Amino acid sequence: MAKKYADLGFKFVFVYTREAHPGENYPAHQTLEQKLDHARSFKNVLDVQRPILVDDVEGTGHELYGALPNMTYVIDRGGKVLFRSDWTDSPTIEKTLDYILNARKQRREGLRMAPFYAEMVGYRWSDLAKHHEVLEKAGPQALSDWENSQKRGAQQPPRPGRIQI
Amino acid sequence: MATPETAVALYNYEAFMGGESDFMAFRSKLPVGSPAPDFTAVALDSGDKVQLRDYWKEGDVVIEFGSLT
Repeated sequence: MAKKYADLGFKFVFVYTREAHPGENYPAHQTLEQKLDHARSFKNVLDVQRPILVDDVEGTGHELYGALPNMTYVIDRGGKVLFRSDWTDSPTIEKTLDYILNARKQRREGLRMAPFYAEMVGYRWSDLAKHHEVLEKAGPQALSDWENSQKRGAQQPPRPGRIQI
Repeated sequence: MATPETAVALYNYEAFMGGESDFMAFRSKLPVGSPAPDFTAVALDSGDKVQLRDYWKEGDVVIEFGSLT
């Protein structure tokens, strides 16, 4: 996807944050060096082609953008937020980029395109097998912490801000 | 005031509990149309410090946040 849209003028970057599910193999960061090491493993293990930018160890950049574990933002030339989502889903991003490109094309062609504020509910495939693989990579602690959080979650009301439809 | 060590420890929680992420706060953080905040990060390939704004100065940018775990 990055390749297709790179040709259309979009740059793709990945900002490396704290470990969402720390485990024995990838524990919570204490130093920037350790965070850089984890980011290098991430690049190699998942064969990441995009430039990876590593945030500082206090999470300064991550906090500025809302500190969720897997957000995506689309920023236009000039620095305005065009799109944001509290999870990352590549089909949703593709649709968004196509939408932006199409609106700009129509504007170039002389149509009066007035911007407006819009929100939508996103749908992503929640791939549990893949999630399990990630937790296994992180280590046994990550797996048991996850299972415990799921058990607790089942006994509690839905967390505010999580869409329930 | 949190000392630098505790700020690091607070942000980098040692065990996932399930309540770390505030999805409600996210919604009011940076609505579309607002200016994206700049910050400094380390480019993994070069080891150089870079500014996020240098990316959007040149064109549109898609920024994903995440970790290996």
